Amino acid sequence: MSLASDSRVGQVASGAVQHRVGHTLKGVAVAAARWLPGVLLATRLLLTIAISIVLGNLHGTSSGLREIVNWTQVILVGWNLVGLLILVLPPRMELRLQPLMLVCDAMIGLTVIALFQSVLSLPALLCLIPVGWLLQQRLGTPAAASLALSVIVTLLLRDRFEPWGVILEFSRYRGLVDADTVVIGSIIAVAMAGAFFRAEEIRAWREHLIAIGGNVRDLPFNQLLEHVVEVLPAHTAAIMWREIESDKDGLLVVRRGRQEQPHLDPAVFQAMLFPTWADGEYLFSGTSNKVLLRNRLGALVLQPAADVVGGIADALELRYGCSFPLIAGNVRARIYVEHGHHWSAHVLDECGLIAGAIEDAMERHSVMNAWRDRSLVEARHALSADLHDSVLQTLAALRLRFETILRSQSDDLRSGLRDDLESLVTLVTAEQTHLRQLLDVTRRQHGATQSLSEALGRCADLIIKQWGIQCQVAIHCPDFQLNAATAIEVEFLFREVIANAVQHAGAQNITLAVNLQDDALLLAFRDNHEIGRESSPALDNGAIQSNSVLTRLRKLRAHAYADTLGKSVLLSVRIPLSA
Amino acid sequence: MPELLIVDDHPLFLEGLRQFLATHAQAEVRCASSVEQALVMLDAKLPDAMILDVMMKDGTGLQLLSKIRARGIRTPVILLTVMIQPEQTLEALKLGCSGITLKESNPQELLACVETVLAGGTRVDARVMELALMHSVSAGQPHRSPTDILTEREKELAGLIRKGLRNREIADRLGLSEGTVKVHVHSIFKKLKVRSRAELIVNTNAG
Repeated sequence: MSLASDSRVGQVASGAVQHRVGHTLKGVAVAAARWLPGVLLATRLLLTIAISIVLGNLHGTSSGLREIVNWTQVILVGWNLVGLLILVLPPRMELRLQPLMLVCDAMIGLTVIALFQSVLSLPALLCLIPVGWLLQQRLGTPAAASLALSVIVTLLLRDRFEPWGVILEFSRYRGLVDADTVVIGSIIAVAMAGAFFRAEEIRAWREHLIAIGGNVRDLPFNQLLEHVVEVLPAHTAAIMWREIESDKDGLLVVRRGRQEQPHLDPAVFQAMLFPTWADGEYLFSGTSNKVLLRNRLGALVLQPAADVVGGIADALELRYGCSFPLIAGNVRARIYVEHGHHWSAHVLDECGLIAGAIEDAMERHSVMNAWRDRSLVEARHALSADLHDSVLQTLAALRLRFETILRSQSDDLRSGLRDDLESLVTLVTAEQTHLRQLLDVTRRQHGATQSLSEALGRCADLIIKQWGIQCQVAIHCPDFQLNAATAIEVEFLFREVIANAVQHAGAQNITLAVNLQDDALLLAFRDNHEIGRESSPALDNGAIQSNSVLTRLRKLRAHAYADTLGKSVLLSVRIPLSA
Repeated sequence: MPELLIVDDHPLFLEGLRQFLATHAQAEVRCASSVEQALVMLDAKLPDAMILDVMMKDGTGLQLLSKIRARGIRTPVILLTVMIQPEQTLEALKLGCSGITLKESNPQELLACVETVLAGGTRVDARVMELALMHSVSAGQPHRSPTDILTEREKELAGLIRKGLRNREIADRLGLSEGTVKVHVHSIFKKLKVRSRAELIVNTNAG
């Protein structure tokens, strides 16, 4: 028991240590990745010192060489100063000059490898690693690949030069080179490990987000923002979105855990949601009123965007940070996060990864919802088919029983009872026909038509028997053939209006007039009851109040209004027939 | 007096039909409420005609028909059902079904069908036959997938979208720019009348 307990304690402690080490390494590495220009500066300085030491030994060998060594050392100092100067330049200048400087770095590093063989090859190679990294960030992968290729070619060709290094005693500098190698190698290893941990962290965050997306019915934007500020450490984040079909806009800000829904001027909203100059992620800063983004070729571009940056500061109170778009389903959104970026290409690329992860989660959410909806529809259809089957079986059985009674006991039945049974048979037959029409999807799918007067006449007969009221149908277009699907909806509307009128207003005599006009079907229901009685929710004066009637009207894209007409109430319906 | 065997698992309908046929068709009527019971009764004695429901709890009328034909029993069979799919109609006719009537038909129609079948003829409900004809006409046409209306490039893109790839990944894989992929995706959505990748995945996978 005690051993098991100790073992568990040991496992927990070990896990905690691993977590702490991972966290520390990640922090160092993320800092290294972010401060890559600084790392380059350090390796550049190291290379300069190494070259100076080597050249210092050549200083006394000949007078001709002395002048070259002096000039070389001046150039090296200048090279380092320019590198340092570029770091403190304004971002616009830095973005333009840094690529040139990187090319110089690459040329110097390659020259050193070619001329000095093993003595300076190592510091030169170490210097070229951050150069390649930055080239990849600034000028894209092809530039970094070109540098790597150049290094390989240089290494292959270096024996063709008379190496200056062979005249030097390498063992004197071995300790120094070893120490440099350990320091720089450690920095690079930590940076790479940190990059790996960060990539793992984003990957785990993405998986977590996708799992949430697949398991919840609604993916609220506030929860999404909480996840964003977790992965991009920030206090404030905002999401603005538009639902394309409904043109419904929304804005939500989460500031230190509190939610706000500020109102934005439509023009500012449009400019912030769909900036004309960027369809991807960008970094912004209110101090310079500029944004940093990648152009279509993948190169970094720093450009002024005072209006948008000003809009972000005014509306969202964000002075600096990053922004990225989201496209999922019929939602177009953009997220703004307050995040210190120091114009880092690394942060910009991370935004792209985060945006992709959120889109994946939203897509997963949409897919799961679509499958759920589809399954529900299929289940409903199956249930409905079972129910209809059962009802049709029962109706058929009733009809057979009635027919049997009518025949087998014809002599014993009183006249009134016989009439009742025959009426019931008619009612059952009508319900069977109606139900069959509803179920006959194939005919409707093949665009079959049916006579409107026949359908409404049959419906009126059924209503008269069901409700025991008077119902007249006057059709002024008796030959009109209506699409079977629309005919069923019209029939449903007819039934719904009558049911409302009878149940809620005690209607006893209803007239329906039907006519065609300008590619629309006009229906006029008149409830001939005396004014003063309780009015029907369906045939009320003015707006239609019955939800069931309104649902039917919506399905037919129909317009309707109710009005009093003498002692009657009139409901007029206009159903457009064109698609 | 002709002898009829009715097989139906709906007790109310079974009893109603038994009474109706006994009264109107002057027939001797036996009833089975399952496929299994029907097979046992057929082993005991063959009727002059059988009336089968299509959907039953322990099997379908078509399965029963297939089994009795496999045993070499040529007794005329009438399918009496609430609903029959066109392909089931065609299958039933292939198995030598003599009559098909819907349960909601006029009972006189059922009587006429029984008389015709007992006389050696066939009688199929007009609506059932119409649906079967419509089905056989449309079945002759080549099956069209929803994605048939797409160009080859769009089909390739739709396939990658169904695999869950993002625009950027698709662009990398096909050697296109992300902008071009977006244009293609928009065109696919428009042609397939879907609003999202999710809808595209659900609709075209099911189709």
